[in-house]
Amino acid sequence: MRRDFIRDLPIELSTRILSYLPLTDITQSVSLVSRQWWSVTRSRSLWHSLFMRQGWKIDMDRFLPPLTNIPANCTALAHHESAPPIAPVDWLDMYKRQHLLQSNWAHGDCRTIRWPNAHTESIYCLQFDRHNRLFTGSRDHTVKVWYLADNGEITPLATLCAHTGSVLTLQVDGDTLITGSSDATICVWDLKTQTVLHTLRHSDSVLSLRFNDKWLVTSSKDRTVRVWERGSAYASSFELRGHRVAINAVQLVDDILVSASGDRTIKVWDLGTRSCILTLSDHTRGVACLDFDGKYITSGSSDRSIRIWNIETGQCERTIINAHTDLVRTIMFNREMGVIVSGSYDESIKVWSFESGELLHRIKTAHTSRVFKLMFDRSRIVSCSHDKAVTVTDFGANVPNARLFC
Amino acid sequence: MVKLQSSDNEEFEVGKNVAVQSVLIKNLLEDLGESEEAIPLPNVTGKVLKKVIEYCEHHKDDPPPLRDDYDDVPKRSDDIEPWDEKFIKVDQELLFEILLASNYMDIKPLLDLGCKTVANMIRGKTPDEIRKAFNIVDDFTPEEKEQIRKENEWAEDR
Repeated sequence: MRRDFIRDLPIELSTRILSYLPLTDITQSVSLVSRQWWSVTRSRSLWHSLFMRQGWKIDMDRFLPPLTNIPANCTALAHHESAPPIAPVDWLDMYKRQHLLQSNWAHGDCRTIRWPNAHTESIYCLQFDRHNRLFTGSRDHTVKVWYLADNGEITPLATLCAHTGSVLTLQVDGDTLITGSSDATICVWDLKTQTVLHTLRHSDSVLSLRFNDKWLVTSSKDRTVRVWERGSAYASSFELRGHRVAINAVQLVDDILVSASGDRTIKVWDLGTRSCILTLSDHTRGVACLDFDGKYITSGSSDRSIRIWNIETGQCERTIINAHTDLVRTIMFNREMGVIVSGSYDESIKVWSFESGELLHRIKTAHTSRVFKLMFDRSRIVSCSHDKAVTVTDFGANVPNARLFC
Repeated sequence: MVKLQSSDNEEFEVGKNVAVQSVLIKNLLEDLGESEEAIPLPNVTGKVLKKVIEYCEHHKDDPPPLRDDYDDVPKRSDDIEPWDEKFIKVDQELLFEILLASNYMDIKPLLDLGCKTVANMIRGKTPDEIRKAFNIVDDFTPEEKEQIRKENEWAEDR
């Protein structure tokens, strides 16, 4: 006795069954079995399940009407007051768009938009956020706040001046911006008033910083990592010693901190016990950059390689030898998207497969000099360089409302 | 012990820890309290109920399923345990009835097992092979098929 499950079961069970199948089974086989089966392959709930199964997300805030005018106060952008009208989501359409976006990443289909002379000198650091704000820090001592439009255009909103040296590192979260400089200070800014609330100090250039709700971690040329308790308004802090030379990069997930140093090592620290729990030392020259997601570390070095480490095993799982032809200065990865993006003193940005370490794409047109920092989300890479330009590399130019995806 | 009664008036006595794997029964017991009377399951025949109880007996000591988006994010379908795989090797009619019963009695792990099993029967097959497997008549015109192929071109590998 044969049974037509998909026709005869309640629709929620039919879609549940089909949601276990790979995309191509649905589009090339299931949809062509019969009219009944075809109609199930068009159901919203099936595509919702398939979308979620991919680990894809939608930024619901983006269902808000687009901002037409830019308020003078940049942080107003961060606080949408009115609730959006909730329209039913067309999940098949959403799936198609995400699929196209992913395919663009895999094939290197992107559009590069360069904004030369964003600062008057080298741009060392940047971050953009879900509220269309872009922050850049420069050798000209300033931090600039930009409106980063969905089409990749940037418009200056504010210039923040407090440092007396290059702004080498920054991080922003809501109304809090923290910047670190070659003047050996760290400034904690309130973006609402655009004023400095706290100034903290190292004994030499501040090279990198990261913060979460609990900790602010700063690393310096003075060979120390300093951990500040944010709850104490930065009054209480302690030092992590162990690296022999400058610490170029830090990354923080909860209480786990990773640090990369010119001494060729990466150290993993437990901030709860204030101890170093792991030292990774396969790089053959100084480590310039790293990224960390709680389980994996990717690192770039002046040995020109990229390494992928698993902190649960303490092993280097993959090495991309000669990833670039010069020092690898900036790196970020996303395991859900399956990509690593790196920027180098060789002036190029490269997109790699996280799984295989295979080069997916090389972006040659982004910069004309050393790449200092990059950041990416689902649809674009934003990078800055010694060439004073900010470059937006957009993988979603042919995807309607690509910024929806996060 | 809890008594269950099938649609064809067959009675089964099972341990409470077996019965409460059905969220339907669990809620009934919580709302009505335990009693000597059998709980009627008018949508489930004795043959199917026997099979469902066999599953619940085997899994009575399992940890409760994680609630992390169980409904929205199906897991893989190639992770079926050997006992489950043997258990679910039944004819299509019984599999169909088990799916309906596990849905009605709200036994998520069994429902998932059934859905995965049907998915695995479909996976990797051509439309023709699927029709043969489930005895389905092709009711498309060639033009309709062409239209669907065109609509689904976006999913093809570049």
